[in-house]
Amino acid sequence: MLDGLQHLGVGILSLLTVTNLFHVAWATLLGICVGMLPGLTATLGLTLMATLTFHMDASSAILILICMYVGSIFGGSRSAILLNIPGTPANAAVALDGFPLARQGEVGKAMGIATVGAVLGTIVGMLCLAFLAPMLAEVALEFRSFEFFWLAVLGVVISGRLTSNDDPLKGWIAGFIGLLVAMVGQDALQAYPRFGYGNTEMRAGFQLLPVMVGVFGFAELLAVMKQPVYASVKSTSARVIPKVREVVKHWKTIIRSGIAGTFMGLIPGVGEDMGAWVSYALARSRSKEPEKYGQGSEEGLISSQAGCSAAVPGAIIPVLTLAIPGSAPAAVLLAALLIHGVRPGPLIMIESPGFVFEVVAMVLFASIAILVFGLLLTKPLLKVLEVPRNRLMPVVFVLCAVGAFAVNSRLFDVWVMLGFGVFGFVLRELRFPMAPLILGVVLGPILDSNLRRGLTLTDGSLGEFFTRPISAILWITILLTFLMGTKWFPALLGKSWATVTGKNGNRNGDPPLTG
Amino acid sequence: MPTESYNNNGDPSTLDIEVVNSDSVTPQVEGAEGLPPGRLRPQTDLFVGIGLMLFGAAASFESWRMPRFEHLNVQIFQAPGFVPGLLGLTIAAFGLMILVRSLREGGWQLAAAGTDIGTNLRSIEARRLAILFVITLGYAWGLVGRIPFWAASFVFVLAFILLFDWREASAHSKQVRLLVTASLQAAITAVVISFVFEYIFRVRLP
Repeated sequence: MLDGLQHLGVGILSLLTVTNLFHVAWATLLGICVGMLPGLTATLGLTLMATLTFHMDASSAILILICMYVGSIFGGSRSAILLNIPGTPANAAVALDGFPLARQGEVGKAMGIATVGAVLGTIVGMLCLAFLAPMLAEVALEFRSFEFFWLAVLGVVISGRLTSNDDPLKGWIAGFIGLLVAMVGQDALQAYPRFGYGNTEMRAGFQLLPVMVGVFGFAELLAVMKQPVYASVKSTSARVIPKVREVVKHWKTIIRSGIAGTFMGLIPGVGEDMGAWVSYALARSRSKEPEKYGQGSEEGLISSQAGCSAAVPGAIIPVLTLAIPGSAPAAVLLAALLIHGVRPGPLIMIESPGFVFEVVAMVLFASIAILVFGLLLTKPLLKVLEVPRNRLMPVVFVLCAVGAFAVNSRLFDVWVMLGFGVFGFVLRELRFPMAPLILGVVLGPILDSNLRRGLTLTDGSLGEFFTRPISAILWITILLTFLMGTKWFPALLGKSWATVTGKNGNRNGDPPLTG
Repeated sequence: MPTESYNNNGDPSTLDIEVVNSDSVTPQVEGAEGLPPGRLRPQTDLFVGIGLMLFGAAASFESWRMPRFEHLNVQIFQAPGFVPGLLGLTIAAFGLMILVRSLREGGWQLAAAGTDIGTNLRSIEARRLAILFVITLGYAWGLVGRIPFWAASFVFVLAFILLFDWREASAHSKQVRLLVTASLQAAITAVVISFVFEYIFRVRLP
């Protein structure tokens, strides 16, 4: 514990330089702007920034990415509250109470409460990151190939289930397509160019960043431009600072939502939107005024925003300790860590324990930045929403082309971006969610190498994949996730529970889950 | 255009905001009738299921064709095609599930879908998409890498703005203004992005 505090102190001190504070300021501000704009997702912003910071030193690059991550998840709440259009999918739950509250004439209160909720949620998540990351790294030292294989499958399966609540089957298909995409290129054992067909470029396979730019950038641009023009904000006045008692009276909700959001972010494949929805549902089930939820409830707003923001540090925990992303934006962070020579994984607390706490310090600084910008710069920030779509989207596409090219300086990557953009758009139109697809691409190499390595160790026997304790927990969780996606299993469980307890249980209605 | 104002009645802790709403606002995901929101019509899912089965089968077949290196005493699970083959089979199985589901929901009744493909292709959305495909692919595939990046970006941004905003500019003066502002934005975008990426972030441009 003392070591941790010492490392945290060193991490905070190392960030207190003019250059680093400048990076915190502009990266968070840019993240908020990206998050605010429908059509620009946090993942796209992070992907482009990862390519931009390619030539910077590792600490500065990671600092910028984390600030952008925190900022963009927070930024989506602005348009969610004002326009009922979440700037990022993660803020869909925020619109449920933020927009009605704004329509009741309490725009300032809504913006202020959302801001403070975001900051406090991030801080709760940051504290969980500081405590849980070292503990999880300790547990992860027991992981072998078998566990990592199941973890990769779990990430895809859970992501598919939870990002496509109406049709989990399509979520799983998207995830497995992503896994298959990751198989293109030289395999790890025999270096055989899979699906290469004699093409030299295909030997290296599809690089993650161009694929992400395509799926979250170009595909998103096509989807946004397909629609007629969305609403825009014309003018604002005054600044927003909520009264302290308005926030303090929700302290239990904030802590509960922060912890729930962190745990949702921690689960591989489950992102910030689930952090928001689960926190919202939990807060409503414990609320003294549940009927106000969906009608402009402050408690509802603060719980969803706190849960959403807490999921950011939550998603960073498995990135650092398992090298497995907790969400799609976290997948970009993972890619950036690897590009900059950081080795995330179970050994991180042994090889570079200070780095984990440096990340904690980065999250803390980003939280302070969103507090400052969120409360004091509301009016100037809202100007961003006045930018006409037809002026913004071409610039975004130019950035997509540059971003795709920047990492390896290959035109092939630009074509990959184009191809996956079209592919991603078609899949979206056919109601396939994108997050499992990207997670599949990230987790594919982990799944492939660990499955084959595990089978090699056991000489082809599947026994240890199912009998090792942690593996058993993981595959049972995967099986239950599949079964809960069917119609008959939850009904069977309900009947069995009613038989056992001798009563019909009433379930509170849960808000719809969106990806 | 309908507008909506959020008034603060002079209270400095809140905001005055005017929101301008256009014709149709939030992109909504509409579901097929009788199905949960977000679900496609069963007729569409019929083709999705068939497509996935073909895709999965093709991936498995190609994986099976990959060398197995038996002469090097490589075991089957160490072969390059092992995992892609399994994934292809899984995708084909999922595709079969989609196909069966769509048939159960009446997907075989293709005429009942009532889709007029011609009308869809002539819709505003389809035209907008077609324009987008042409200019984005034309830029990234046709121009980038063949002419200087700043020139390619200038042409692209200018064309994009003109193609999508020209209809709004009915009067001659508005058209001239649009041309000037679009050219200015295109030039600034091309120059700023090129400069910032090449000299500040030191990223090579195509």
